[in-house]
Amino acid sequence: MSNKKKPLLQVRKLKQHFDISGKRTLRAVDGVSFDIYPGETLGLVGESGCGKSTTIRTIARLYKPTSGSVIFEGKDLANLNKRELIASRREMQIVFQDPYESLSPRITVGNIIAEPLTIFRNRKLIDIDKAGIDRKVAEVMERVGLRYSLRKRYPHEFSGGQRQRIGIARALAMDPKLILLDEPVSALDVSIQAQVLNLLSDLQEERGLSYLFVAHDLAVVRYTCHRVAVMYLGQIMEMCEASRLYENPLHPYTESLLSAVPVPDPEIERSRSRIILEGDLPSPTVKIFGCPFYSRCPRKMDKCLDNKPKLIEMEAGHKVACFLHEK
Amino acid sequence: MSSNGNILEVNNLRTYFNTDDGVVKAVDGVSITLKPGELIGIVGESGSGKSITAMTIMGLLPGGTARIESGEVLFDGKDLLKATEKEMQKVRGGDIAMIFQDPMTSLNPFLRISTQMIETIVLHQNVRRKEAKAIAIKSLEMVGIPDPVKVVDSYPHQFSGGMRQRVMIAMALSCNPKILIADEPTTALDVTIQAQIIDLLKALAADLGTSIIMISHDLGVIAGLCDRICVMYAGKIVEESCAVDLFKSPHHPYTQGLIASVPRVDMDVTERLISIEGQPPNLLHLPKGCAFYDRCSKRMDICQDKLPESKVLKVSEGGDVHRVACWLYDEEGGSHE
Ligand SMILES: Nc1ncnc2c1ncn2[C@@H]1O[C@H](COP(=O)(O)OP(=O)(O)OP(=O)(O)O)[C@@H](O)[C@H]1O
Ligand SMILES: Nc1ncnc2c1ncn2[C@@H]1O[C@H](COP(=O)(O)OP(=O)(O)OP(=O)(O)O)[C@@H](O)[C@H]1O
Ligand SMILES: [Mg+2]
Ligand SMILES: [Mg+2]
Repeated sequence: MSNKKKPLLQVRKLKQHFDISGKRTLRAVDGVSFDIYPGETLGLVGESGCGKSTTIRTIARLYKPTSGSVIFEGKDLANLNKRELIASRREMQIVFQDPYESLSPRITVGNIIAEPLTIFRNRKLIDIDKAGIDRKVAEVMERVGLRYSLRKRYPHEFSGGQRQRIGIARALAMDPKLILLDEPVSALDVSIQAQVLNLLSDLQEERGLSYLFVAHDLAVVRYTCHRVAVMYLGQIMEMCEASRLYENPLHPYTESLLSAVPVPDPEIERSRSRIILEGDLPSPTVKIFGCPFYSRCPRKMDKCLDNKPKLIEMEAGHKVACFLHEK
Repeated sequence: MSSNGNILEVNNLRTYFNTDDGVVKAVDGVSITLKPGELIGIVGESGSGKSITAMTIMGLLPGGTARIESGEVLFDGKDLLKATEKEMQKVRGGDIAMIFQDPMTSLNPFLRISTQMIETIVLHQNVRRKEAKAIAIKSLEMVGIPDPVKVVDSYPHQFSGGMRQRVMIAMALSCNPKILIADEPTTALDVTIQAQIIDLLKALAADLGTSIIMISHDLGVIAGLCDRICVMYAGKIVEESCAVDLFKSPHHPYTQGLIASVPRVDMDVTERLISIEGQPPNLLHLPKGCAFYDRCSKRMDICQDKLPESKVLKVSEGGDVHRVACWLYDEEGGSHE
């Protein structure tokens, strides 16, 4: 991505700490910074519980951040009043992880897709009449490959892949600039995954959309994303252009993650060597003073235990937080 | 073991469900043979009948609506479908063990791991509780649980997801099963933990000669682990072959589409993914002919009217058979393509 363009979204030192029982603090997102440029897809990968969904929810202000800032189109969301904040939502849409749980079962698909538009219309945030909404619904349904005649049906009458299209259509209806995609294909069969991934890439090309693409499948991310950020326990460990990350991973966590992904080819699989990590993820409620990956790192050093490595740019556009690479 | 060297033979198995909307043919003529120490993979989309095949073999079908329409499951020459529930209890967890996708379905949250493991071991082996506990500890050690002597007395919730999955494998192993059926054992786990479990299963087959049936929708997992692969679609095995052949020269258009539609971590993006258009079939309204007909890019007229039989395409010198159920091919390698 060209750096001459201005970023659409700037996330700076974002933290989301949850207070949980026993006066403990769970550091779900712990100081995350990145930019997303117009027309770009940034992938956010990492294992279960590392804070991917929380990052998305905090960016979309479903949660108020503990600290840090989210700057969208040059405006810090924290400084907006309620009305301005709602207006900004129009241009920043979310598609949720589970197409089975994220759609209300008792509302017809047409109304699900129209809902955000209707809300905006009722609050006079958008100049559109009922017929305009219908036209928009027809257009986006058509675009994602759902027949308009299906608008009177309910979500349970659709397959997983179709439901994910409904979620995408609802986001598209708002003409957003950025879509936050939380595991948009994880719940789908592989044969259906490819359909949805192709749709997302076509839409990006047509409309110049930006995506924040959250996933745990590194192969899907390689295929879909321009740049990738690797997250571990609420922090970004490495970030760079997608192709570069796969050719030259610098962080031992990225390396082990990539080596663990199975490749659908028996001959390659059999000759590959894997880095098998020992141990499990530490509890996110324990405050870690050093590198979060210390407990499982095959290349840990003494200083990693209580010094935290900073995310440093090693080569153009390639950042890593690891003492192995700190000069 | 039967005379042909198979430890398990599933022949023409049909498991149907009676529902309010009609009969669901969840498993519709499945045949699988398993040799000692062999690793077989079953892949296929959600709802294609993988789990119900496994559940039928284990005698664990939900009561009431499920019925076994036809077929046999020969283990040690005996048909398990004719066994009494009491006999099946002996087989389950003894000679044939199963690991489920969600460990909590087979672990009791209120009982210590030791209690649960000892019960199973005492049921299947002629040992006292004290010896059983020693066996339990040894099994935990084998699956790489650190400090098993201490850990054995913990409750399931005290483990992480990956550890629980390993505890379940340890439980399955504690009675030295001859066959292990693993139904998506790593689907809920992170890739780094998945890699540990796959290594463990490989070691089991190599070191103890355990035969494994691995069910997964992840072609990568299956490719890395299995000698032979069965591809299921709408209750039928549409293609079966040794792993290398299946990936090198997939014949069924569904298998071809499946392999082409998976993004790979070892390949740069060059073009669009090839996707299989359309939706998975509705088992309540299966067509007369091939179930893949309306999604198939190579369909012919005959496919709509007549069900393709499974044909042998190739038999390797080692006796590996490549079969496919598709009208594009004639017996022994010919093709209409
Ligand atoms: N509302 C909440 N209250 C308390 N803790 C939460 C809340 N939401 C998330 N968490 C915790 O924050 C951490 C990060 O969760 P999050 O859902 O962001 O992870 P994730 O990376 O999306 O994982 P997955 O891949 O499983 O979806 C987890 O430990 C989770 O239990
Ligand atoms: N109790 C039941 N009553 C009616 N139909 C059922 C029942 N259980 C399963 N089925 C149907 O049987 C078919 C096969 O189900 P099965 O669980 O074997 O699929 P699967 O291949 O294991 O899928 P997945 O990958 O989602 O686990 C499905 O279409 C399912 O809807
Ligand atoms: Mg999540
Ligand atoms: Mg299943």
